[in-house]
Amino acid sequence: MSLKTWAFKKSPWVYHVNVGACNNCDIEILDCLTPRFDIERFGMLLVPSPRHADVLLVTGIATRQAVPRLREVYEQTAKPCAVLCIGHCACSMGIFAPSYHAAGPPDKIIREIDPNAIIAYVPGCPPKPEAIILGAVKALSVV
Amino acid sequence: MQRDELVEKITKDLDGKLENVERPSGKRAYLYVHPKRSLEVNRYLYELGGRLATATGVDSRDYIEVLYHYCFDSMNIVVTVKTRAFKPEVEIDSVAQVFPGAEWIEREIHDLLGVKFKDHPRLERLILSDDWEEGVYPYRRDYKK
Repeated sequence: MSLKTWAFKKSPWVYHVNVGACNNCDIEILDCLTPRFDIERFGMLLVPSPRHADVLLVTGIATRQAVPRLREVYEQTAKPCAVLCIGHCACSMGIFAPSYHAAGPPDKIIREIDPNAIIAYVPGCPPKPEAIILGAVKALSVV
Repeated sequence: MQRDELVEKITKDLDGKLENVERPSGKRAYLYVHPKRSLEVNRYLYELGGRLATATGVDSRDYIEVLYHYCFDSMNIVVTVKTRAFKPEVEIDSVAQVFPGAEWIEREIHDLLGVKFKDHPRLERLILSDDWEEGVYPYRRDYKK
């Protein structure tokens, strides 16, 4: 294991990207950070800039307005990085797939600019904090 | 003042300016108004003490109906002003000069249904994305993705 991978797994800092979610998944992400689930014991820390982040937590369907922003955020994230698509909307767009303002799903947009991106999917509407932690563990285990 | 007295008073004061008055239930009253008179009627309801709760737009094929909902909270009644803006111009007077708070809902209706609000102080894009084409309105019945 290289030093880079070891450091990445040891303390994956997360950045939260909302690209058109209804706020339910965002609340569950906040739940992960509370003392009850406390993802900080795994070294995960919510950071305010994608340049400091190792993991992107993407929620929402990716609306037309959000697509260029999502691309920019992914490009700014330090590599190697993992992407967690949280919620049904981010995984498959759910009921919003035929909607007039949807351009996603977000994993497709990230694959367009980086075909080798590490993307984990956490389905659910919204997913449980336990599921989000499991998704993070799975994403880090393939690095 | 009771609900029925209020509707009676509105009907009497606006005699000749309304096309029709409907009472679907005790708590609701619909006033059908020609687009030319809509500003006048809205201003009257404002002076009467109505609170503009919201506005709605509906595409009904030949025309787009814009509805202004006024609450009279002490009487527990909602008075709705229904104005039909006929296609293809789809023009109607803006009430933003009477209610500054109506600016954003009118901009939203303009975005989604393409209703042109005359004398609106700032009729710009509000909720659609920056790269959305001009003249394409997603809530119109003939819209295809």
